[in-house]
Amino acid sequence: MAADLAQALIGAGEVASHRGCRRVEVDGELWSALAARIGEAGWSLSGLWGEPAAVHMALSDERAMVVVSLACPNRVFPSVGRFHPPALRLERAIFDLFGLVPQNGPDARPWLDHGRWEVRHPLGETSAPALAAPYRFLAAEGESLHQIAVGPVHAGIIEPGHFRFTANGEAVVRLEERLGYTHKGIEGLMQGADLVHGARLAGRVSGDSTVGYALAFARAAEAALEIDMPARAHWLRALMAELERLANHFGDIGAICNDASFSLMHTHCGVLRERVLRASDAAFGHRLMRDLIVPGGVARDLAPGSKDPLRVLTADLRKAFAPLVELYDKTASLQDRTVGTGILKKTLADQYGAGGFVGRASGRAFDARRAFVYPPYDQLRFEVPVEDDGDVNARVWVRIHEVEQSLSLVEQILDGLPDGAYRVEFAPRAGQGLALVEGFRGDILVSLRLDEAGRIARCHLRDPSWFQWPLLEAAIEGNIVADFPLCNKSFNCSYSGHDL
Amino acid sequence: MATSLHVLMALGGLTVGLLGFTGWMGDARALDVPWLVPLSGLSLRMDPLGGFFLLLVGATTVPSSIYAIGYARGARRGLGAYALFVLAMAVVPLAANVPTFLLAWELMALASYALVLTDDRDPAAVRAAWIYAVMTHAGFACLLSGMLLMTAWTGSLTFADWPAAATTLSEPARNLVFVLLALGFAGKAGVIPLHVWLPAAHPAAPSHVSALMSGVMIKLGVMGILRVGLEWLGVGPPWWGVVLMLAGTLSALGGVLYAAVEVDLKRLLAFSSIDNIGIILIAVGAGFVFHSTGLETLAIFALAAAFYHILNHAAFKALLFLGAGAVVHGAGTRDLEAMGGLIKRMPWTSAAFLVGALAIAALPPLNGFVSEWLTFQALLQNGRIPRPELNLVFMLALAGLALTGGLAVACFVRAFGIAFLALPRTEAAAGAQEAGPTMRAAMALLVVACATLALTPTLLLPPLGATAARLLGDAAPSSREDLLTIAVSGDFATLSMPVIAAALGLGLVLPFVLLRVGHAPSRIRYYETWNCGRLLQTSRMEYTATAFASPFRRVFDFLYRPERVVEIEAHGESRFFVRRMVYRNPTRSLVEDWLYAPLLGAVRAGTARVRAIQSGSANLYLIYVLAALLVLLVLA
Amino acid sequence: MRRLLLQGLIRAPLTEPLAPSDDTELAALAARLDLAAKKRLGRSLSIREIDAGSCNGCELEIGGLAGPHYDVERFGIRFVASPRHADCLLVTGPVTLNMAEALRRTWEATPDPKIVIAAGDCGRDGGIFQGSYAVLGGVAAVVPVDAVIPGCPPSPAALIAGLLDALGRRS
Repeated sequence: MAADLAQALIGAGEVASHRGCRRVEVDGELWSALAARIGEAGWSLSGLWGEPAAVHMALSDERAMVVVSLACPNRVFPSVGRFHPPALRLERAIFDLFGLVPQNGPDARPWLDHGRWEVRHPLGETSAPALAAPYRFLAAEGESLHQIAVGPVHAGIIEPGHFRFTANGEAVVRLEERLGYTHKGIEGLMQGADLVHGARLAGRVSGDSTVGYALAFARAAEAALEIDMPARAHWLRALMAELERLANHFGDIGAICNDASFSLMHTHCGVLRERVLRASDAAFGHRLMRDLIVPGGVARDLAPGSKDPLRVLTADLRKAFAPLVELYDKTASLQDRTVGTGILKKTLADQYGAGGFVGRASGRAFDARRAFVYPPYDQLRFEVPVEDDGDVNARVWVRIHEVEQSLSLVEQILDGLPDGAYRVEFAPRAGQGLALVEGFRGDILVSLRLDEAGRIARCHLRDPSWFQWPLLEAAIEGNIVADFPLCNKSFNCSYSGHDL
Repeated sequence: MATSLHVLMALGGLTVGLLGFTGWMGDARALDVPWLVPLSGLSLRMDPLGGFFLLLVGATTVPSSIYAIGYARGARRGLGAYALFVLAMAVVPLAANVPTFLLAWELMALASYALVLTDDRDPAAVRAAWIYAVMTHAGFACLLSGMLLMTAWTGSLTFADWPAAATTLSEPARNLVFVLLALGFAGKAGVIPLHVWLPAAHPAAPSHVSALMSGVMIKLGVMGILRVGLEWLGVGPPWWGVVLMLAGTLSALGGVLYAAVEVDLKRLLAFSSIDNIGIILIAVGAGFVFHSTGLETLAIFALAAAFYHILNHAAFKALLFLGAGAVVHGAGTRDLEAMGGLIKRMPWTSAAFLVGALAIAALPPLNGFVSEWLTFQALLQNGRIPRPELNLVFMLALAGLALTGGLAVACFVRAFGIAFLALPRTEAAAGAQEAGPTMRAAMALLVVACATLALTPTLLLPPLGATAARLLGDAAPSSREDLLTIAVSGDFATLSMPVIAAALGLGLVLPFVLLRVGHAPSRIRYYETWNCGRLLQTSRMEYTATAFASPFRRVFDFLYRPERVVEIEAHGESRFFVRRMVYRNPTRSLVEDWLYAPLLGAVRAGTARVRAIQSGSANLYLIYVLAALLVLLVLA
Repeated sequence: MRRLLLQGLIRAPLTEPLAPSDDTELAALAARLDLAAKKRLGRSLSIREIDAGSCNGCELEIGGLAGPHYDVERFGIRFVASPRHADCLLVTGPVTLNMAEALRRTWEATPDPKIVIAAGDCGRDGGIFQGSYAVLGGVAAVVPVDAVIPGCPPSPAALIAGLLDALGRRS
C-alpha cells in the first residue's frame, strides 16, 4: 500500500490551471522531504524534468498522479537521485540541458552532453561549450578483468548507444551504458512551435512509438485546452495504438528469437508484422501511422471499406500466430537461452517504476490504460498480462499475451466504432496539461504548457525507457556476454525516445 | 670473467656434443678412473643411447651459454654451479656403474638447486628450491634403494652385468626394482603426480638454466626409465608399459590444462614441459608394450618417435625459455597480464618465440608436428596387439594425446597473443628493450635447429631407429632411400615435411603474387582498427590472459576449482550507486590439495610423534647408539 | 517446427516482384553516382547501415528489407556487421552532433570503393530537426553522399528502388 501522496502535499500551493492531473508548487524543504520519502512510501517517480528556472517531478501513488514543481531562482535544486536512484540520469539530463544543479547529487557526470554541442546548457542559460573530456566510467577492478566496449555504431540495423562491459572472459562483471548519441534537441525545437508542428515533432521522437507519442501529445494539448473530443476520434486513436502495439510486438518477438539465432521465428513474425503495417497503410494511409493523430482528433478518417479487411486480418493473425507461439514454447534450445536469462527482480522493477512489458514481466502490474484510464479503454474489455519470473522468457510471454489482447481489442473497436466527427477545431490559447498513455513499451508522459498565442512554451516528453535502461544493467549481472543481445532486445528500450 | 667462462662452456658444449654424436653413430668409448669415486671407481661407457643424450646435453649447452653471455651480464654468482651442472649432466648418460651414476646424479641435483637459488632474496624462489630439494632427494632415495637392491641381487655394481643377471631374478623382485627406479626417474622427469617441484623451480632459475633443466635434465629421467625397463631388467611384462602410458597421458593432459590457465609466463612453460614429458612417456610406454608383446619393429618405431620428441622438445623448449627470458629481461615482469604489444618493441624475440610456440603447438611445418605425428602413428598401430585390454590403453592414450594437442595450440596462441600482440598493458611493457646480440644469436641458433629438425626426419629416423634397436637388443631396421617422405608400415601413413613446408610457403607467397598479377590497386590506406566508432582504444579493452583461459576454467572447473570473489563498494549517499567493484578469480592445484597436503599432514603428524624420542638428554642418546649397535650386530 | 518448415517448402514464396520504376526523381538521383564506382562494385552490394541520430523509423523499414516480402538478398544486397566488409554506407538520421564523429570514423573505416546513401528526409537535410542546436542537418554535412532516398520513413519498396538505382540495375 502506497502512502497517501495527497496527504503529504497538504500545504503546497495548488496550480489551478493545470489539467490532466494535479499540479502543486512547493518549496525546497517539501521537495526534499518528498524526494526522501519516494522509496519507502511506495510512490513512483513518473518523470523529472526542468525549465530554465524550475524543476518538476511527477509522482504517483496508487490513486493519482501529481506534478510537483519547484522554482529554482538560484539554479540549484535538492537532488532527488540522492535518495531515489531512478532519478539520477534524469537529473543529469536536466543539468545538461538547463544548467540546474542537483544539490548533493551523487553523480555529476554529463549524460546527454558529450561535449560536442556548440553551447552548454542549450535550453537554459547557455555558455561556451565544455571540452569533450573522456567519459569516466565507474570502476570495476580486478587483475584479470578487461573491458568490452560496444558502440556507438552497433553491428545490426539498430540505433546508436555505448555499452561498456567489464568482463572476466565470458562472464559479465558489470555493464555501464552511455546514451545520448541521438539527442536531437527536440524539446528545444518544441519551444515556440505551434501545436501542429509540435504534434509532428512528437511523432518523430521515436519511430516505433509514433502513434503513442502523438497520442500523448494530443491528449496533453486537449487536457490543457479542455477540448471536447468526439467519440469516434478516441476509438480511431485506440485502433491505431493497438495496431502499432501489434506490429511492434510481432517484430520484437521475432527479433528476440533472432538474437538467439533462431531465425525461423524471426522471419515468420516478420511476415505478420509486415501484414499489420500494410493493413495500417491501407486503412490510414501510412505504414507507421505517422502524423495521423493531431490535437483535436485524427487527421483522416478510416478509409472506407477498411473494417472488413481489418477483421480478416485479425482472424488471420490469430491463426498464424498460434503455431508460432507453440514453436517458441516447444523449441528446447531456444527455451534454454531465454529461460533464466536476464532476470529482473520485482523489487528493482517496483523501485524504478518500470512500465511496459519490462515491468509486467517482473510482477509489476502497471498499465496506463488501466491505472490512469482514458477513453475508449473505459469501454473496452481487456486484461493486463503479468508474469513473475522477470527473465527474457517472461518478457516474451507478456508480449505474446498482449498480442492476443490487442487482437481482441482491435475486434472490439471495429465492432463498437461510433459514427460522427473524427476531428474538432479549436482556438489556440494558453493552458497547461499532462497526459499519460500506454505506448507499446510502456507509459509515455507528456507535459505541455502553452502561451497566450497557443504556442508551446514548454513541452516535456518522457519515454518509458528512462526507467528501463538502468534495469538492463542489473539484469545482465551473472550472465555471459553472449546473452547480452538477448537481454537487450527483450528490453527493447528506445534510444531516440530516451535521448530526445 | 663470466663471459669467458660462458664462452668456454659453449665451446665445451660443442665438443661434448660432437663426442656424443660420434657415440650415437656407434663409436663406442670407455673410460675408467678407479680412484676418483668410492666403491668401484669412476667408470664411463658410451653406447648409442648414451651418445644420444650426451649430444643433447652438449647441443643445448651451446645456445644456453651464448645466451648467458648477454643475459647474466657479467654476474659472478652461479658460474661454478652452472659449470658443475653441465658437467654432471654430461656424466650421467655415460655412467657405467652405480656409484658414478649416483654421484653424477646428485651433483646434478645440487648444482641445479644452487642455480634455482640464484635470487635468494625472493621468498618464492627459496620455497621453490626447498620443494625441489625435497622431491629430488625423495627420488634419490628411491634410486638408491632400487640400485642397491639390484646390486645385492645381481652381485655387481656395473650396469653392464645387470641384463644377464636379471633373467635369474624372480618376477616380484624385478617389478620392485622397476617400480623403485621408475619412481625415482619419473620424479626427476616431472611426471604427474611427482611434478610439484617443476613449476616452482624452473621459473625461479635464470632462463638459460631453465632451458637446460627443461630441455635436458628432465629427459635424463626418461633416459633412466629407458635403461631400467629395457636394458637392466631385460624384457618386462606389459603392465610396465601400460603404467608408463597412463602416467604419460595424465601428465600430458594435466600439464597442458594447467599451462592453459597460467598467468606467469615461465610457469606456463614449465607446465608445458610436463605436458611434453607426458607425450614422450606415452611413446616410451608404447614402445615398452610393443616390446613385451614381441612386436619389435613397432617398439623400435615408438621409441624412435620418443627420441625424436626428446630432441625436438629440447630445441623448442630451450628456444621458448630463452625467449621468455628475453621478455622478462626487457619488460621486467613474468606476468602475462602485464605484457602486450612486445612485437613492436622486441621484433626478433617475438619472431623467435613465435617459432617456438608454433613448434610446441605441433603445427606444420615445424618439428613438433613431426614427432607428434610419429607418436600418433605408433599408437595407431596398436591393432597388431591381440589383447583388448592393451588396445584400450592405447585408445585412451590416443584420445589424451589428441586432446593435449588441441589444448596446447590454444595455450600457446594465448601465450604469444597476450604477451606480444595488441597494446602494452603496463608502462614497463611499453618501454621494453630488445634483447642483446648474444641473446638473439642464441635464439637464432635454436630457430635454425627447429627448422632443421623439421625438414630432415628422413635423415634422423634411421639413426634414431638404430639406437632404439640397440637398446631393445634387436637388429637395426632397414632404411628407405626416399629423402623426402617418411612411410610408416608401407602405405599406412606417409609424411613429407619438405613438401609440406614448400606448400605452406607457396601458400603464403601466392596471394601477393596473384594480387600483383591481377593489377590490384597498390595504394594501401591504413586506418585504425574498427572500434564501433568510439574515440578511445585503451589497453584495458584487450582480452586478458585470464579471460582467454576462462572457457577452460568453465569446462574443467572440477580440476581448477576456481573461487570467485566480488567486493562491491557503494556510494555513501546511495546504496544502489556502486562506485567500485573488485573481482578476483583464483584457481587451486588439485594435486597439491588432494595428494601432497594430506601426505605432508600425515608426515608431520608422524614426525611429531617420533620427535618424542628427541629428549635432549645426552645420556639417552648414548643409549640409543648402544641399542642400534646391538641390533646391527645381531642382524649381521 | 516441422510443419512450419514444410509449409515453407510447399507454399509459394511471399516475395514480391519489383515494381517497375515510375519514380523519376529516384532515377535521377542515382544518375549522379560515379560510373566507375558502379563498375567496380559489380552487381552486388554489401551495406553497413548507420543510424546517425534518426528516430528509428527508417531503421524499422530498413530492417524489414531482409524479410520474405522484400528479400533484398535476391538482388545481391546484404547487410554486414563491419564497415570493413561494406561497399555502401546507408546512413539515416539528421546527424546529431554526438554522432558526427562516429559517422566520420565509420566512413573512414570503410575501404574504397564505397558509396554513401542517405535514407529518409532527415538524412537528406535534417528534415524536421533542421536548425536544432544538436543537429548538423543531413548526412552530406559529414561525409560525401552519392544518393538520397527521401521519405519519412521511406517505404521498403522505395528503399529497394533507391538501392538498385544506386547500383544502376533497374531498367
